Amino acid sequence: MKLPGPALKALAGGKALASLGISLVRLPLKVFEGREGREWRTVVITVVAVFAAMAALGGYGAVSAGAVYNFLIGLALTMCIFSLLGLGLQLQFGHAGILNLGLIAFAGLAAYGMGIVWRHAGVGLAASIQANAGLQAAVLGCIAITAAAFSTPIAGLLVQRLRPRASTRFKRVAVVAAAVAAGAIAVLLFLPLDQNRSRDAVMLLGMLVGIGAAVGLAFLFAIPAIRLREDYLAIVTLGAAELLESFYRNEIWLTGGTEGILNLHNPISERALSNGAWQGFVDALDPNLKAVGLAQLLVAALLLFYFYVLFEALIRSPWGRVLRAIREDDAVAGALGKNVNRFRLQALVLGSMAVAVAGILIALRTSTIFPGTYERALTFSTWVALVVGGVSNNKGVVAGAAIVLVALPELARNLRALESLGIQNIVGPGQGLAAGLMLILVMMYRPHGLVGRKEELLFGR
Amino acid sequence: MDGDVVLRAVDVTKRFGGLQAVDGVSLDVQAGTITGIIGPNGAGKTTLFNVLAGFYPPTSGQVLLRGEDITDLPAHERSQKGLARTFQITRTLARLTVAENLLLGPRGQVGERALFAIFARPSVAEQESGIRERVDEMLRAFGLDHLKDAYAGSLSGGQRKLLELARALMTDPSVVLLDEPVAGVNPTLASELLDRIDRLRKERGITFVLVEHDLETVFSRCDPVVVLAGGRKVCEGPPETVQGDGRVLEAYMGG
Amino acid sequence: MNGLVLGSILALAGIGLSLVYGILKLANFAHGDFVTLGAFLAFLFAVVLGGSLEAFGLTVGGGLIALLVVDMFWLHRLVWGERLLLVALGAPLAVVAAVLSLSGRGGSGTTDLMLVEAALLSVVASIGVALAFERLVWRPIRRKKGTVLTLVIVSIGVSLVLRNAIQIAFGTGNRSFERPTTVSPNVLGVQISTAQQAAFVATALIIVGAHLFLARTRTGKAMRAMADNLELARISGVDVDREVTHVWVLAAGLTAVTGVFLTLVANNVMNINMGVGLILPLFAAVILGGIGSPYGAVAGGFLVGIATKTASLWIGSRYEVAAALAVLIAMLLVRPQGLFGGRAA
Repeated sequence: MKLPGPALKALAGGKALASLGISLVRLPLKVFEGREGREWRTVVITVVAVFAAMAALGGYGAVSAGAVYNFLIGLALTMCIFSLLGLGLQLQFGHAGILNLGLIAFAGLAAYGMGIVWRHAGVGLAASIQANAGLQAAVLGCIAITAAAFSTPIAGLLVQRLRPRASTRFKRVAVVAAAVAAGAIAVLLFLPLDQNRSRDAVMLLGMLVGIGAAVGLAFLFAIPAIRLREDYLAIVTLGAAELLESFYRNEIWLTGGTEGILNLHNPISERALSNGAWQGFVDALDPNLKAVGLAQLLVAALLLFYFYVLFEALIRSPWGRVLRAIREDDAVAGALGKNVNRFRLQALVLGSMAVAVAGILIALRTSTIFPGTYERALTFSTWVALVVGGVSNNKGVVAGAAIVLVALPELARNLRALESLGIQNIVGPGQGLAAGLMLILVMMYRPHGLVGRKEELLFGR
Repeated sequence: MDGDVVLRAVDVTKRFGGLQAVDGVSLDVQAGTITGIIGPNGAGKTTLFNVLAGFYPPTSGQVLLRGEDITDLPAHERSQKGLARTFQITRTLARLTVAENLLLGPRGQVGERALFAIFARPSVAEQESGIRERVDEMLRAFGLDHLKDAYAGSLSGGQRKLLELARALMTDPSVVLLDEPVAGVNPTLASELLDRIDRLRKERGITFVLVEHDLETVFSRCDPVVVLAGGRKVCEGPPETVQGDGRVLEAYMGG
Repeated sequence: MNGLVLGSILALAGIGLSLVYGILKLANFAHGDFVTLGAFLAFLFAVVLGGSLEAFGLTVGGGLIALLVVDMFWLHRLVWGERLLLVALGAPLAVVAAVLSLSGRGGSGTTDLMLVEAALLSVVASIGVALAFERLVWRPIRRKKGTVLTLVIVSIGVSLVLRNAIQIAFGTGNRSFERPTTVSPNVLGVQISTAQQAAFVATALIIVGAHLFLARTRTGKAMRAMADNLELARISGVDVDREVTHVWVLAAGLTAVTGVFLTLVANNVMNINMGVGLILPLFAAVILGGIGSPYGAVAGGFLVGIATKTASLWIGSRYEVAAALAVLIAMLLVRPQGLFGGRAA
C-alpha cells in the first residue's frame, strides 16, 4: 500500500529529526580526538586532579559526604565564574592583543548596573508589572526576544556542525525554529507573572542594563586601546578601574557606598527553593546537598558552556581569522582591507560581555554587591590564571581558573596551620605571593602555559 | 584618454620634519599598463609609493582612484576600493597557514562581521565554501597547492614572494602596487613573477605600478617608466625614450 | 599634603621609574611596591636597631667591608671605583662603631638619628632586593629577548610577590615610626618645623645630588646615554649589564627614601597599599616628563602633584586619581614623548 504524499513527507521529516538527535548525542564524544583532544585531556585531568585534591584536603572538616559535596560545588561555582572572567580576558588579550588591566571594572559595572536598578526601582517596578497587563505583555515580549537572540548562535552552530551539507535554506529554517522554541520556553518559565516572577523579570532587566553598561565601558576603553601601545594601555586601563572603584565607594546615594547593595532578589535562589521538582531531585542525590548551591552551579556552568562555545566558534570563523592576522601584523591586515580598529573594538566588546556575566554571577552568589568585591586583585588573579592556562587557547582558561583560583586559595587556607608558628595572617597574602611567583615563573620558563600553542605565542621570542 | 586613467597623483608632496621626500609629483597611470618607477636612492620612490598605498597621507596634493579622491582614505579603505599593495620585505602572516593567508584576501566576507559570525552561521558557511574554492584555484595557479596547510613562516623566500602576490590578487584589485617585487630574488623566479604579472595584465586587465631598483627589469617589462630624483619627477615615457634621456643618467650620477 | 609635597614624592620615585622605563623598557608596575618596601624595611630596622649607633655602624660598615672581601676573593664583579666607595663608606662606620662599643660610649641616639639610620639601612636592603630581582628575573628575560608585553606582565607578578611578602612579614595593619609628632631634623643648621617641609627640602637636595650624579659622573652619563639609545651606548663602549645594575641601585635607593618620606608626610602612617596608590600618578609624571628623562620625571612629578591637589579642590579628594588619569590620557594622546621628548609612543 502506498502512503499518501503528506504522510510520506512527515515520515521523512521524522526520520531526519531522529537522526539529527542521534548526531547531537554523539557530538560530545568527538571532542577528544586529535591535537584538540590532547589539550582537552590535559584540561580535564587538571580540573579533576584539582577537585580530587580539594576533596581530600577539604574533607578534614567535613561531617558527611554531603558537606564535602557542597564544598566542592562551591569550588566548582568559583571555577565557572572565574573561567568566564578568563574567557573574556582571553578574547581581549589572547586573541586581540589588548592589555586590559582594568578587567574587573567590567564585572563591577555590570553587577552595579543590575544592583542599582533593583535598589532604586526594583520592587516598585515588579509590582507594576504584576498589576498591569500591558506591561506584562511588553516584559514577556522582551524575554522572548532576548531568549531567541541568545539561542540563535548556538542553534546556528549546531545545525552547521550536524548537517553541514544541508541547504542554506534548511539551516536558516532550523535556526529560526530553534529561536522561536527558545523564546517560547523562556516565556513559559515566567508564567504566571506572580510577585516572584515579576521580580525575576525586573532582575533580568537589571542584568541587561548591567551588561549594556559594561559594553558601554568597553566602547570607552576602545578609544585608548586603539591608539596606545601595550604598556601605555595597561596603565590607562588600571587607572580607569581605580577610578570606577572610587566611584562605587563614594557615590553613596547611588551605590550604597561601602555598605553596598544588599538583599538582591535572586532569581536562581528563589526558584531553587520554591520548585518542588528541583528540591526532590537534589534530595534524591544526597539529602545534605544544598539545592540553591547546585542550582547556581548549574546556571554558571551553562553560561560558561555557552560563552565557551560562542567564543570558540568566533575564533574559528573568518572574523577570528582576521583577528589572528591583526595579531600577526596589523599593517598587512590593513593592506588587505581589514579595518583593524573595528575588529579590536569588537573583541573588546564581546569579551566584556563574558566578564559582565561573571560579575552578575558574583553578585548573585551572595545576593549582595560591595565595592571591595570587584577589586584589582581579581584582575591580577585572572591574568595569572590566563597565563598559567595558556594564552590564546580558550580551553586553558578553565584549567588556569582551576589551578589559580580554586586550588591556590584552598591550599593557602591550609597554611593557617602555620599560624601556630607565629606567622599571622598568612592565608590571603600567601595566596597572592604564590600567584605572583607562578606568574613570573610561567612567563619566564613556559610562556605558553598549560595548553597554549607555542607557535601562536603572543609574546614572541 | 582621461577615462582610462585609473590611478592619478596630483602634485603630491610629502615632508618628514625638515626633509622634503616628495616634491610636487604628478602621475597618471593608464589602465592595463605596467608602470615602473625608478630613481636613485633617496629619490622619494618608496615615499610616493606609500602615499599612493595610503600608509601615510601626503603633506599636500591628491590621490585619485578612477576619478575618486582617496587622498584621506586609510590603507584598508583603499584596499576595499580595489587598490592592493605588496611589501618589499615579504610580510607573510607567519603563524597562519598559506591557505589562511589567502582566505583573508577576498573582499566583502560576511563572516568577518562579528554580528554575522554570531547570528548567521549558515550564511557564513555558504560564502566560505565559495571562497575556499577560489583560494584553491589561486593556489593551483601559483603552484602553491602542495603548501596549502603549511605555516607561511616555513616557506622559502621565493615562495613567500609568490604568496605575497597571490594574496594581493585575492582582494580582486583593479590596481596593484608592487614594492620591489623582484628584489633579492633569483633570476628564474624573477622572470616567472614578471611573466605572471604580464599575464594578469593581459587576461584580467589589472593595472600594475611597481617601484624597482633593477633597471633591466623595468626597461624590459614596464611601459611607461617614470624616473624620480630628489623627490621630483625627472622624466616619464616609454622605456626607449627614458633610456635615451640624458637627464636620467644625470639623476643617477649627479643625484 | 599639599601639591609641592606630593610633587616631591612623585619626583623622587619618578626619577628611578623614568630611568628603568627608559633604559630597560620596563613599565615597572612594581615600582610603587618598592616604595612600600622601603617604608616597611625602615620600620623594621628602626625596631631592630632601637637607635643604637654601634649596631648601625657595625651592621652597615661591617656589611660593606664584608661585601668587599667577598668580591675580592670570590665574585670579582666590582670595579676599583666601586671598591673604593665601599671602603670609603664602610671603614669609617665600622671603625667608629667598634670604638664606640669598646669604649662603652654608644647607646640610643635620638629618634631622628634612628630614623636616618633606619632609612639608610632600608636603602641598602631595597637595593639588595632590586638587584636580586634583576639577577633572577629581569636579566634572564632580557637575554631571551622578552617583549614589552612580557615585561609588563612579569612586573605585575613582581608587584604581587612584593606586596604579599610585605603583608606576610608585617601584617595588614598600619605601622608607624616611633617618634615625636613634630619632626625637626637639622638641615644645614636650620630648623625646619614640619615633616612636610623637611621632606620637600630633602627632596630638593636629593634631586640636586641626582643631577650632579647624572651630569658629572661617568656612570650618570652612561645612564643618560643608555636611556637615549641603548644600542648606540653599547657600541660606544658602555658596559650595559653593569650600568643596568647601577640603574637599579639608583632606582631602589630612591624608592626607599621615598617610602620613608611618604610615611612621614602621611602623618607617620604606613600601610601596604601606600605604594599602590602612587603608581598611577607616577606613570603620569614619568610620561609627562618623557620616559627616560630623569629631569622630566622631576618636572612631571611636581606638575602632576600640584595638578592633583589643585584638582582635588574642585572634584574632591576622593577622586584624586581622576586628575592623574586625565593628565596621563591627555599626554598619551597628544604628545606621547612627553615634555622633554624621551621616547615616542
